[in-house]
Amino acid sequence: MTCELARSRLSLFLYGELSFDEEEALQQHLESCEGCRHALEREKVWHEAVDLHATEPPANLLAQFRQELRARLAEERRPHRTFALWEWLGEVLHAPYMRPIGALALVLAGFLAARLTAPGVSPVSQADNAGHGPTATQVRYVQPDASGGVRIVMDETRQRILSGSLEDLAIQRLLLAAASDAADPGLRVESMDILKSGADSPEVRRVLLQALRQDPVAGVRLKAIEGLKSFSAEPEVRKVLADVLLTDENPGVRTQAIDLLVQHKGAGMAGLLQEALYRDSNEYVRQRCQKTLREMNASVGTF
Amino acid sequence: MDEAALIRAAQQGDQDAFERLVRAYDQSVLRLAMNLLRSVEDARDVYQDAFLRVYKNLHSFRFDCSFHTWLYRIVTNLCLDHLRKRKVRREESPVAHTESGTLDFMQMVPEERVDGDPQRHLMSRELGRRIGEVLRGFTPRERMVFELRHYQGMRLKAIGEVLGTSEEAAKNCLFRATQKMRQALGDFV
Repeated sequence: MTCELARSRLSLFLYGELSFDEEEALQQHLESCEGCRHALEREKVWHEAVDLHATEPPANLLAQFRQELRARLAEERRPHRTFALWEWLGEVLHAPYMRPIGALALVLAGFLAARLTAPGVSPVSQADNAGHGPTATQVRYVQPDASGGVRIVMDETRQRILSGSLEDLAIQRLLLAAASDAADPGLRVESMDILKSGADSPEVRRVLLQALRQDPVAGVRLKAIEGLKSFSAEPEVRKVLADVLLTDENPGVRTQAIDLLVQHKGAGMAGLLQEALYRDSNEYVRQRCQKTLREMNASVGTF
Repeated sequence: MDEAALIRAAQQGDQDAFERLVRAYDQSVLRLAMNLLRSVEDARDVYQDAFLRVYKNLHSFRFDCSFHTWLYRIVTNLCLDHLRKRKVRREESPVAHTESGTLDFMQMVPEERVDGDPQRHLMSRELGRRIGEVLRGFTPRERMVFELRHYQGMRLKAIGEVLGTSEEAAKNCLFRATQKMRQALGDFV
C-alpha cells in the first residue's frame, strides 16, 4: 500500500467503515510507516474538532416546536366540511314538492339508525362507549369461546388527565416529578416554566436550585434561574448563583446569574466578579462583569 | 409499551401513542435538521412538516423497515429539498424569531471554556468558523452523509437505506466530504 492510498483511507478507518481486507492492509502499512501514523494522529485531531462544532437544540425551542406541532395536529384532526353533497341535498330537500319525500326519508333513516345502534347488536360499541377516555391497547391473546364467539385478552394503558392549580399538592408533586424527568428535556422546560411561579414553596425552590446546579440542558437551567429571581437575597440561592457564574458552560446562564447577583451587592461580590472576569472566555460575560464592577467602584484590573 | 405496539396504537388513531412516538424521536430529528440546515427557521419547517407527514402516512407504514429508517427518510428528503432550494434562493439565515425572542444559531454551538487564554480562544473561534465554511461548501448529499455518519453515528449501510442509495455510493460521498474537511483544516491541526 502506498502512503497516498493509506492517508486517503484514514477517515473511513476512524469511522470503522473499511472492509476487513482494507483495514488489514492499512494496519500493516501503519506499523511500518511513521509518517502515516503521524497523519492518523492529525486525522483524529480534526475529527475531534468537528465533534465540538455540533449543535444541540435548546430545550425551550424543542418545547415550542412541540406546542406548534400539537396545534397543527389538532387542526388536522378537526373534521372538514363535506359541503358539496350536503348543500346540494339541502337545496333539493327545500323544494316544496320534495317535502313529503324528505319527511319519509327522515323517518326511515331514524328507524335504521335505531336498529343499528340497539343494545346487544355490537359488543364492540358497548366497550367503546364505556366512557373511560382514550386507551392504548395491546391484544395479548385471542381464543374461541364455548358459545361460538371469541375471547380477547388485552393490556390497556389508560391516559388520565388531571387539572388543578399549582397550590394543589397532587399537581405540584406531578410537576416536580416531570421537572426531573431525565428522559425528556422538553417536558422539564415546560414543567419548570409552570413551577417558577410557585417558588414561594421551599420544595419548589429546592427543585429549581437542583435544576440550576445539575440539569444538562441550558434551557432548563434558564427557566430555573428565572424562577429564583425574587429570592436572590437568600444565602443558599446566592451560593448556587456564584457557583453557576464560575462554572456553568452556557454564557446565557452565566449572564443571568450576574443579573440576579447584582440585585443585592453584598460582601464578596466584587471578588466574585473579578474572579469571573479573569476566568471567563466569553466577551459579553466579561463586559457585564466589568460594567458591574465599575458601578460598584471596584477595580477591574488589580486581581 | 414497545415501539411496535406504540406504532400500531397510533395507526389506530391513539393520539397519546402518536405523541409518545414524536417525543421518542423529535429531539434527534431537530438536532439533525439544525445541524444540516444551520438555520432555526428551516429546522422548524422540517420538524413540523416531517411529523405532519408521519401523522398523515402512518397508516401506510408496514414495518418493512425500522420506524427510525422510515422517519429519517422523510426528514432527510425534506432537508435535501431545503438545501437544494437554498442554492438558488439565498444564503443561510442563522437567526430566527421565536416566542422566547430572537435566536442566533451560532449561540447554540457549545462554547469551549478556555480559562482566559485569549490566544487559544481565538484559535478555537477561527477553527469553528472554518468548519462552518467547509460544511456550507459541501454538496447537499455530502452534507447529508457527513452529518448522518459523523454527528448521528449512523453506519453507511443504514445511511444508504435512508437515502435510497447503495452503501458504496454513501461511502464515496463520505470519502469526498472528509477529503474536503481535511484539506481545509490541514494547517490548523
